[in-house]
Amino acid sequence: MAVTCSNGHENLDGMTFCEECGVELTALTDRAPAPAPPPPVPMATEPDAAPAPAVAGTSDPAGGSGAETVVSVDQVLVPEPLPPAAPELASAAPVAAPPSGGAYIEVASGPFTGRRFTVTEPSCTLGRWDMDSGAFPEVDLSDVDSDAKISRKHAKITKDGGRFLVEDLGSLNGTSHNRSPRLLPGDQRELHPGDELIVGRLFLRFGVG
Amino acid sequence: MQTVDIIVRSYRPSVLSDSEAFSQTVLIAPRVSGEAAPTGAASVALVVDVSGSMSVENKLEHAKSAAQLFIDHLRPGDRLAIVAFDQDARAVAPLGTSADASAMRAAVAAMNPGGGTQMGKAMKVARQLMSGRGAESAGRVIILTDGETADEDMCRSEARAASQAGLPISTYGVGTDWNTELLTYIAETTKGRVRHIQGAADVAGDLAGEFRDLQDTALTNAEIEVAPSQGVTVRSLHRVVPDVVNYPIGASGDGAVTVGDISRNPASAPQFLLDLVLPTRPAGAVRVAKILMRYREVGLTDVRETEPMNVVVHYTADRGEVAMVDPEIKRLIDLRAASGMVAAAEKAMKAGDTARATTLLTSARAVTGRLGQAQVTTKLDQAIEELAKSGDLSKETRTTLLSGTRQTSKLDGFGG
Repeated sequence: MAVTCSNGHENLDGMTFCEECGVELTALTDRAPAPAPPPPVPMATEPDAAPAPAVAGTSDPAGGSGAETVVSVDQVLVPEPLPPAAPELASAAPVAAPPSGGAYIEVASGPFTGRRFTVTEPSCTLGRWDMDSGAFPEVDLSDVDSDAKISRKHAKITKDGGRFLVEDLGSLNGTSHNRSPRLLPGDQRELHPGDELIVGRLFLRFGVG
Repeated sequence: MQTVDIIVRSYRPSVLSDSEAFSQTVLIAPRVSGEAAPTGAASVALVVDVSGSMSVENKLEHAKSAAQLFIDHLRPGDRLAIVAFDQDARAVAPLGTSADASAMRAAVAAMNPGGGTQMGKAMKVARQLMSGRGAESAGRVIILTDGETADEDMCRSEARAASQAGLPISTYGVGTDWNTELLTYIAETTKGRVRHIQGAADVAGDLAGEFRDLQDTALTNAEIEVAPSQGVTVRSLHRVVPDVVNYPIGASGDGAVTVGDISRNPASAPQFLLDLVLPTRPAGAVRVAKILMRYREVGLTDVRETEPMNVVVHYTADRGEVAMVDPEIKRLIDLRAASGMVAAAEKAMKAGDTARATTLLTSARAVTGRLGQAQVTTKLDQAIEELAKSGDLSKETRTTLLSGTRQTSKLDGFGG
């Protein structure tokens, strides 16, 4: 027997949350169509299957310096108005607009942190502009490469259907994807928003929207 | 029998429904309770810089005291190796037990300062010695140095080799001449710690704290695996206790992230913050991610995993409910932010942007002041003043600031 969630995913009977999208399943079976009233706040986590966490927490009277760092077992909440006063400090602040525009890469290290370059489609070369050798990369990193570790034709991002793939173009100082070991030239890796690229000594972040 | 589980909690358990995308921070705190396996033991390689500069302020003498403390506190089954290095590296004492204590003491007493600094060679010797430890023991290399090393590339490749072998390396820099970037790289790569020792007199106590903590290690080679639900994006994973470290994690969150050793002492057990971006949804409870931890128990060799924990978020239109947050997590988020601001200020300094560095340090100061972190706040005040006067920061201020804001909990030594 299967339970279908509100988004149409089939789940085995007895599951509490949809394996696919995370929607609560019990709400569907127990309280048919009406939107489930929000349950009392505290329980933010529950074990996947039934058994409750058996251990009642090591009540170590670790006084002194370490005491502040020990997590209490039960969650106690305090009100904190939304949005928070200093958005960069607290979480639950609204994040950037949902994906709409094209892909970009953003400099994530050094003096030019935050500078964005548009990732052109269907393919986009990253490197340093050099008329003499005929290198005309779509993303010209000459200005932001203070260490001069980026090759003229360093890396390439290709759009393949809905996916973005990155590859190294045989650069001198290499390309790393999410801190991977140096990519072999031509070895394509799929990029997801938020992924990190290292070209030479420069950190970049890939994003969409 | 010991029980292992993870506490998983959301900063804001309820979020606004039918609104824009929200970020959510989740606390992950591994917890170990019950009796440890009787065969559990610690294996440590203490690597001591004996280059000429270590004779200044009697640093080497203090390092020797630390080694003697280690020998004094070897439990049955614990093993200790001591490696000394200048331009060469040698195993002063091979991996031995408390039965070898007298030979170890004599070897420590015979260490003399002199010569250059090639730390990579010592790391290799330590790694080779540690390969003889049992897979069931908690292993760690603890390095003490006071200067720049001549073989930085070898240090980096040795760090990667140690990481492959599941061997954490903790690095302790005394004074201000050491290479912050390199020691940080080694510790982060191997999931060890990097610490700054203020003065020579603190050497023994700080190193003893690390050894004490190693003896408390309950789990090694721990990995955290995050499975986000559809539409949920993983932004980042940080260790925030005992110090702030960023663990690279892909946006899809797939694959496990190695987080290293887990202490059974709740005061020094690591805690992690996971940042997620949640999609817009109608009202109702939603599991936004499943989190589990995989680990090896010290004393045993098989790999186990905890029950997967659900991160459940309640989407609601009730703004009063949405305003409720977890103050413990807020404190950790703020500590992480302060550490990030100081790191960003350091970068701004390097780029010559003093104005931005001042702004960042002032923001960090506001956070640490609010959290009652007196020591760090004082240091930040000094730094801001120094910056205003000279337009730059001394190496000493940079080092103490960076490590001061990173460190969120102190390791206790052998009780005095």
